[in-house]
This record gives sequence, C-alpha cells and structure tokens, in this order.
Amino acid sequence: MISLGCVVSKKMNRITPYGGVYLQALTIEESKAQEKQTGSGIALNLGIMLSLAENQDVAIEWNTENQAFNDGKDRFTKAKIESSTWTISGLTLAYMYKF
Amino acid sequence: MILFAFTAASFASIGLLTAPGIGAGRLSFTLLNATNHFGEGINMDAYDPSIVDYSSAGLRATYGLTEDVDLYYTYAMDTFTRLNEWGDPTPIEAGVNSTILGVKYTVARESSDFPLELALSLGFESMIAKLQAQEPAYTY
Repeated sequence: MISLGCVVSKKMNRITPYGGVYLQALTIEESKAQEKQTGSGIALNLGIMLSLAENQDVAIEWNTENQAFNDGKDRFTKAKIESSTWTISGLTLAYMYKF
Repeated sequence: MILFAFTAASFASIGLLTAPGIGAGRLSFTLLNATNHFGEGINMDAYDPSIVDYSSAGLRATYGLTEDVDLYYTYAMDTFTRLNEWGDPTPIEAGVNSTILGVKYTVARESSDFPLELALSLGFESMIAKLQAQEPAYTY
C-alpha cells in the first residue's frame, strides 16, 4: 500500500492537536492462486499529543479508514472475485521518547 | 474476503504524525497500542456478520533527516480478539505483521500569516497475514 497524506497541527503550550487525511493506493493478494486486486482508500486521523517533558510525549488518536477493492480473478480457474469495501476504526495510545 | 481485510486493515489507519519535524539528527521511538474495529461495508452501524475486533501493538522509529524532513519506520503486530464471520463464532487464530516506511516533509510552520503547521507524508506499507482455524470452544 502506498499512502499520500496531509497533516495539520497546532502547538498550544504542552498540547498539540493534530489531524491527517491520507489517500491510499492498494494491492492485495490473498493466495498464490489469486491475481492481485487493486483498490483505493481514504484514512482520517484526529489526535492530541501531550508533552510530558522536553523529550517525552504521549498521544491519543482516533482513526478511521474506508477501503474499496476492484474485482479480482482466480489465477487458475479464472473465477471472478467480487469487489468489496470495508471500514476500520480504532483508538490508538502512544508513548514517544526522543533522543 | 475477510483475510483481505486483515491484510489491508492491519495498521494502515494509524497516523501518529504531527506536522513539525522532530529536529535534525534526532531520533525518537514510539510505543503504540491500538484497539480497532473492522466491518465489511461502509456502514458499520448496520448489522454486519463479519465484524472483528483486534488490537495492534507496535514500535515506530523516527529520524530527523533535516529540520523539515523526518523518516519513520514502524513495525506492528495484530492480535484478533473476536471473529464472527458469517455469523459463525468459530474462533480463528490470526496474526498480521505490518511494516511501514515513510517520509514526512514540513511544508509550512505557524506564523502570523498561517495559524497552523502543515506537512505532507508519503508512506509504503507491507503486510503479511496468517490465519489458522480452530475448533469452536462450546460450553454446555
């Protein structure tokens, strides 16, 4: 998967709210019997980073992502593999240490 | 199809990027843990027989190449806590490993003319998934 994104943030004392939008180009191959399927997706992130010290941060982020795949084909039987869409959303916690 | 989803979903939606670079020559490590919810179809509120909860744990290393350019590398592993594909509660042992290699460029910093900081990122992600079916654990 290749993603191209745009990120904005604004530092306010120890807190940095941020957000990002990412466009994705996807390829997927479930098994050797399947030709690669291509697709595209869009992901959105919204988060808050809190500075604990000069070199330590913690962050909490909400993320969601929609992906769609085109029709595929079985390499041997040539049977059609249906297109599909799915959504993933989640919450991420992170701790960062800088040297 | 759900295997597709695992491989595609894995870690892709996590950004953890703020616009400013970490600084030239600096190195940072980030520990992260994510709880994710997956459903086929766009509308996750509707009943969906293939809804999965899974968690990701990972480590990201970021290196400040210049004041404006950061390189980052992420490795993450997913653990699936619930699988209910096609209404079948058969548990499936699954593992997904993800690696992401990316670069972020700070385009604009906060100034009197522009109130936000802005960056562009380009990432490449590779994922490998393994599923192993197990006998359902029935309780009588």
